[in-house]
Amino acid sequence: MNVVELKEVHKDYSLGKVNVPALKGISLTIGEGDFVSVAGPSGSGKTTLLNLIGCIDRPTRGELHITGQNLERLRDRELTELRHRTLGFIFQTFNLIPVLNVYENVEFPLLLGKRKQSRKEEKEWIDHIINEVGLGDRKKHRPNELSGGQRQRVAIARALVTRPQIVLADEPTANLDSATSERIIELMKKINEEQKTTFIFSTHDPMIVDMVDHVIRLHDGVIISGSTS
Amino acid sequence: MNSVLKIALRNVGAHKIKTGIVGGLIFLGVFLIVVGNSFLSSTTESLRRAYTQSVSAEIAVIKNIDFDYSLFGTWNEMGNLHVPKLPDYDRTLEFLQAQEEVREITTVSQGFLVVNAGENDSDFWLNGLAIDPKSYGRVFNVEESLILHEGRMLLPDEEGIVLSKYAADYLRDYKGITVHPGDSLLLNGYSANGFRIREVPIRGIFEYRYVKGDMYPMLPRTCLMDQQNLNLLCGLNPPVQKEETSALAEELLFAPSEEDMFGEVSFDAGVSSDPVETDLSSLLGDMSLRHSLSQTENSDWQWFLVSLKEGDKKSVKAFRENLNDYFAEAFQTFTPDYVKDAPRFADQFLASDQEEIAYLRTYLTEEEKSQLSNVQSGAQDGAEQVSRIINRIMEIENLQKGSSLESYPFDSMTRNLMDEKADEATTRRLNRLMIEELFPYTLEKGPDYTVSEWWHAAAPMSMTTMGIQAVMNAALLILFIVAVIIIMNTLIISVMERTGEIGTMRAMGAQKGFVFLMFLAETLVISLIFGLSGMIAGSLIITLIGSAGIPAAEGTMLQMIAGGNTLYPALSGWAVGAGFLFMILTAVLSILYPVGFALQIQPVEAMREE
Repeated sequence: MNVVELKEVHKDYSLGKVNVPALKGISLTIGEGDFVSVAGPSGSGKTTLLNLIGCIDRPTRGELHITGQNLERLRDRELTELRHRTLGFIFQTFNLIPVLNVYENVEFPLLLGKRKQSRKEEKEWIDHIINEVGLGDRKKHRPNELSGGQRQRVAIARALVTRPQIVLADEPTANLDSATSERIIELMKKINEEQKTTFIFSTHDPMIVDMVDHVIRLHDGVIISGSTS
Repeated sequence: MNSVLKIALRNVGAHKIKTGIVGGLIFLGVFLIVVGNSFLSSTTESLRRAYTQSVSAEIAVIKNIDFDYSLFGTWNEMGNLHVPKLPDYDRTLEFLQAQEEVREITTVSQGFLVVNAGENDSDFWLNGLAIDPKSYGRVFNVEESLILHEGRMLLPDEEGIVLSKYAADYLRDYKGITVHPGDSLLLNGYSANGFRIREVPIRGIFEYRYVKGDMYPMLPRTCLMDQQNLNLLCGLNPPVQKEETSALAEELLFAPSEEDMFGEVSFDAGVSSDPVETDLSSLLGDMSLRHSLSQTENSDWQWFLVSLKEGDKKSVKAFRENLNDYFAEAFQTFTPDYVKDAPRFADQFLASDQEEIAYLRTYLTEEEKSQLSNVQSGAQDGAEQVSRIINRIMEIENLQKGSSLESYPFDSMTRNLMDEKADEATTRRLNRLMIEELFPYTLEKGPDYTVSEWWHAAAPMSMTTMGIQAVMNAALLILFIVAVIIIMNTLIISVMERTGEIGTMRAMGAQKGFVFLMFLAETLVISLIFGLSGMIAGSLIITLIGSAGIPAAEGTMLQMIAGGNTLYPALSGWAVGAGFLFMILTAVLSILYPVGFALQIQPVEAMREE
């Protein structure tokens, strides 16, 4: 089953009166449980593509299906619900909430929706994720008390906490040392295998490129290879 | 919801500059509102206590008039006016006495007097308050509210004046006249009827204990005196003796002649026979004669001052509001005697005022002229015809029948009719005739009163306090607007700074409602913390100052508005309420635009590099 399906998707940005096309007719499918990387030089449209798949931006033209649902007719509220239910995000700039500590940051997405498990189970799950990313002894720290690598590990834990079907990661290991990177990727790969979670990266990290199921290569808003898994 | 509150609280602590600006302004606003309004409502309360105890009582009842009035003089753009005498004194008094809220009632009249200090000297004005010593003593606790420096208070049925200490000192210091109880003072009165001079014995020299205020000249110049002298001096319907009344009235009623209408009628008991005294009071005398037929002596007062039994301010207000309705109901079936007598007096008017009629005629149609002739020749009933005709003239003058006669400027109308040739006295007489004789239908409704609370009687002083309050509230309104703008601006900057954070929350599945609640909670938390602090700080300050009291120096503004020598500010519930309202309104109004801005932030903002 395809969790992501794009048909002739275009995305233009307007810079004043000039329309700048970022994606020029992208068609691709990503299946459930895939471990995919989007690669390409800067300006090729990697982030734009991730934004569209992540339902935080809308295409100018074309069809976009996430877990079989056509996004075109969805209102903001429904789209937000879809993101909460289905997607996890790992940002290049970490984007942690500065006033919350590590535990609270990881917990945050769970507070945005209805509780699906008991408080105790929820706490155990959060603790488990935080231990998995190697921050078991940093739970009470605020983001500004952490290194860049530690912050990204919090972000990864936060993206995984809702057990999303799809995790979108923008350069997730760019700020991690290679040992941690490996642990993180192994963790994600483990979750990918256990939970059938689909992972979509944009990355230059050769370690990720080596470990992914396939690579979608973009150039100037066009896919040059890897449009289907 | 917990998470919203948690994040809000953390942000309050994290964004210290924003919290400082927003919180500081709200603290300042609430503090100023609580302190300022408490202070001013304390002055109003203090003023109220002082005046109701000493000068005005709680409720004043006067004849319905359309100009500003107070116990310190009554003015309009034309100059000094007198409050008209109370209509139907006896029944009104009886009615007021029957009200269960009423404790005591007294009557006063007011008029300005000049102390005669020699021909070449400048005037020294006094505000003469005629009192009825018996009931005055029952309404105002004289021993408590007045300081008698010399002599004693006026006794019932005694003529004389109790001078204010200020007046006595002034006369000594600036006019070289030293006065003591037992001396007589030569007083001038001026009214539409001309000048009068009388010699009035001084009984005492007094000062109000609580009511102060040298800044407004009429208060320290207020003197208490007997009714007869004030009425004679100021031409306020002088009271007459019963025997004289009957005799004169009979003459007037049944054998009217020019001489009786204009002839000299002396009511003065020989106190003064100064040549300056004019006989114009007789023109008014003829009116009061008639009234006195059915009314007791000395009923020609301007004011009823009513003190109420212990009760809250709300019940005073309710009593005042209901009193006019009560009056209307109580007097519904009542027709005053002078209305019944109207036809006869209308005939007299027609018989004796050929000249005026000639002026009126210039406004009339042919038909009306012939009707008027019929009236004059006795072929038709006078009052009805003449009232209709005068009514026609009123319509010509763009008047509407049924509008309150008292509110109509009869002076100017009569002057128009008289082609500006009428002297003051004739004008006044015509006015009275028109109102009382020619328009009985408006009088049939019963007496028409203006019922007011203490502050109206004490107008110049209470108005000053209320004016200050209004100015302060305007200043607070400006502060409020400025505060909202500054807070709004600060919050906008805060929202812009947190664009990435909001975008991230939205990307992770936070609905717009969450963002809205987060900012609302944040601002409300700041408002509550700082607003309540301001409220507590303001309350503490007011309580501290209130227990110590603010001394008011002699002759200062504070003394005037404090109604005494010390002001004890007390926390006002209204001030606290206004502070609370300020706090909530500021928070809500200043958050609207920034939150609207925050709600426009798209989740894709999360991906922008900071």
